Amino acid sequence: MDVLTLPLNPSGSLEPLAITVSLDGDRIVDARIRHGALHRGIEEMALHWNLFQVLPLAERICGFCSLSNALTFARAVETIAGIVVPPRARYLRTLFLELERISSHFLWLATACHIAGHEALMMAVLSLRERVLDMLEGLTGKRSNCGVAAFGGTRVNLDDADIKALEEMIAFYRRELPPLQEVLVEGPLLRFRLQGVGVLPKEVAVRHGVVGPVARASGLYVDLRWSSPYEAYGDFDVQPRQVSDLMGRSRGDAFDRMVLRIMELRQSLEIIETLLQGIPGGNVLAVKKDRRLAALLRDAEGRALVSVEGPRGESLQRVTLCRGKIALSSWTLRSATYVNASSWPLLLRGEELSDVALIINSTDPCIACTERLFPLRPSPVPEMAPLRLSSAEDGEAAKEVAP
Amino acid sequence: MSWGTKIVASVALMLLAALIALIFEGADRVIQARIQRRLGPPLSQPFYDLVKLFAKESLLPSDALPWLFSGGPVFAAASALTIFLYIPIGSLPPVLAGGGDFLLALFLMFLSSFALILGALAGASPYGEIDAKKELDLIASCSVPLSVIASSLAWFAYRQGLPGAPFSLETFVAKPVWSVAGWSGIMGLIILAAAFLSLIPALADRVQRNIFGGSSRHFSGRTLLLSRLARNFRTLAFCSVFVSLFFPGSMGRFLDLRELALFSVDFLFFWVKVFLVQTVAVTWGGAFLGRFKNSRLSSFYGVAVTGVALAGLLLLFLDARL
Amino acid sequence: MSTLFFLLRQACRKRLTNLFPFPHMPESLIEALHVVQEGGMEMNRPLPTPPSLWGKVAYNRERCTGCGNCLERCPSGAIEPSADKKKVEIDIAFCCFCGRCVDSCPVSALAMSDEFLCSSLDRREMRLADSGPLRLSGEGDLWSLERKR
Repeated sequence: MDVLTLPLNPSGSLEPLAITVSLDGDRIVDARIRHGALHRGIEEMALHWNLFQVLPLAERICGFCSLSNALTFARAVETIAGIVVPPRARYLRTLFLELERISSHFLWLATACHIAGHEALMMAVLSLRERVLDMLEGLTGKRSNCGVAAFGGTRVNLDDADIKALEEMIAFYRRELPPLQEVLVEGPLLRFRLQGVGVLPKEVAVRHGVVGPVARASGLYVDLRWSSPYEAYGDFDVQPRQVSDLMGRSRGDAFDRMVLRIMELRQSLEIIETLLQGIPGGNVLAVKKDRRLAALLRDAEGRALVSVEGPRGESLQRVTLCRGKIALSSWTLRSATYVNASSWPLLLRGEELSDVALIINSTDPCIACTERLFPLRPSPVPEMAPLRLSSAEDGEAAKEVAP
Repeated sequence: MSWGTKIVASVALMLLAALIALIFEGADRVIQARIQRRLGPPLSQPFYDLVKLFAKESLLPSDALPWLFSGGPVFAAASALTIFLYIPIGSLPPVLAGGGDFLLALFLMFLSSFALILGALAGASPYGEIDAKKELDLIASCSVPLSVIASSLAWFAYRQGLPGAPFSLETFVAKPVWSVAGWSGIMGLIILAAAFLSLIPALADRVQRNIFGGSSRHFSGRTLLLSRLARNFRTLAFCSVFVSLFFPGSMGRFLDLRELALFSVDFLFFWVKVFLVQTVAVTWGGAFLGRFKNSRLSSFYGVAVTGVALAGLLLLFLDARL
Repeated sequence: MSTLFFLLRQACRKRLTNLFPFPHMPESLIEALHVVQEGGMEMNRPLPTPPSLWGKVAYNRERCTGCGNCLERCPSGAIEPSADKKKVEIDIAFCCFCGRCVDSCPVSALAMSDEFLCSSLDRREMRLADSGPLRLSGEGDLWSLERKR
């Protein structure tokens, strides 16, 4: 067998990944994927900053799961410090998580259409996405990296006009989504291109432990909003969506992942609709006084392992605080893409070269979130000059980061 | 015509075709942008691109065969332009007429594709190898339905006694095939026309094959310019051949014009028809085809479109029998 | 078929492109904007911004008590203490527009204005020492500047 080994440049996958494929003709025999191009040293930076500074940093890990990352961090800190979030803030957090999911899923749909070559559909999807971005801009002042999370609550509050605007947005999507869904799901364009590509059967999905929409598209009931409700999700009925409910059966291919994301868009709209009806009044911040919050955080000590269902799946963080200063002693992040990435070589094997971008994209990769997980240790190679990443007193802390 | 007139007429026609190809590309981009709810570039954008690419450096890969790498696109563009010398434009006869100019036009079309593929192969990059293989796959799968369409049309023209050589485009222009066909014949011709239309985006290199871009991604500067021009010329030539075969009506005769007025009106009418065909086949067809997987593209053209073309042939056969 | 109708409908709908303010990039954007203001030139207006937009930070020097809360909160180190008095200076070039300083200010000397054009050729222009008194809008926690037009 004549095997050609070919490195694909980042433009081949639309992601900053170094993918090396071994090809037999047009078929992929083996694929090797190397991360590391987007490592920004965020964890190291965070160890030198105080908690208030780390929260915006957590927001900026990734533009599209910005709230999930920040909220996971805030929840971890609240858990350690024993701050109880008021009910209104819990509802608002849920609302913004769902808005973020809508915006992220629309963006994924647009990228999928772009990779499949249907630019006209991509523009249709993006023009729909504008509405939710405008909504976020109106509510928080920013289209992405909205900065909603704060320790012990949220930084934004809604008034009646905002709730009315949200209801208008839901009505808009109720009107505009069905035609788009008909074209994407029932129409021939994407069905012809996506069906049977990148199949991840249920058994394999369990073995690789995939999370989020990828797992649900393979027929698994994996959804943290349902299995371990946080914030206000316990008050609603959040069943994990299954493709088989709409299409009859699920195959776990790229097309099913698209169908599932469209179903989740509608689910998010439903959640927002019920949420707006029962939104409680009261404060949005548990601790109003700045000084008091600082004192609480200074006294907090312990570890917390918190996960939140982001648009791409489970975003997991382990946070350790030490008493006496408002700072982290360790911070570990594991994003959903890190888990899902383990299935990429498997998904690519046996597929065609033209499908590489499509398959990798079908799992909704977020490389910016993923590459937070590299151990921060001094270089283990003795003959090289030791790479000092932290000062002597932080040495212990730096070691803690390593998973 | 004397040799001198022929040469002058050919050069003039080729320049005109090049100009029209660029204008049509601009229009194609504007309409595509409209489908995507964008504003799109101005109509003159292809000309700006031409000037810009002409000024850019043409990179030559270190392992490349220089004459083939730079010569391939030149040859591709030239052979695509030559096709226009065999196409009757409106009521004007083709500059170089012959008995089998339909076949010659198709041959030149394939030659143009092959020249580009050879140029990409001469770049000595493994990506070029893969792209060349994909292009060859596509051309091979497209040539089957194309030959079915060509031969069934020629057979039908011969059988129904159209005056002139059966493989000459002039024959089809002088007397439309629709006029000699019965009901099933018209059905068959419609089916053949649809099959031909679906072939235009693929053979004119308008279908995006993968996210990397087609074989033209190996070129840069002037070679890229020529490979793009070759693509535009091929698109225009294909649409012109389609118009000559299936859409030959004359506006001038309908208006009962004479001499110069007849030629000029038909000349303009011809390009309007070509533009309509290009908008339907390339702009809207391209919006539907998207970025195909290569194996699916081959099976689509090699099996589905061939089957459709064969059905058309069967209907024509029935028509001629009855 | 429904796909065809969808695309046809899309082709007929209003285009989404928001044009660049000027057909050709002027030598100096600021000067061109001044000419537009005086009515000497036409331009494609930018999209309206929502009142809650987080643009450039505004700082009321008079009101500031120099408590230093914002210095601790700023994740990008954009806020520095002033040399002379117990006040601060903000370097917009470093600012990441997170708005945490606004939250932390006990006397509301800081606010997010809706001014979003904050590029400059001169780095010193990016240092903000004072932007005058602020006007409170609404009862919310956020402030907005009355924009001088």
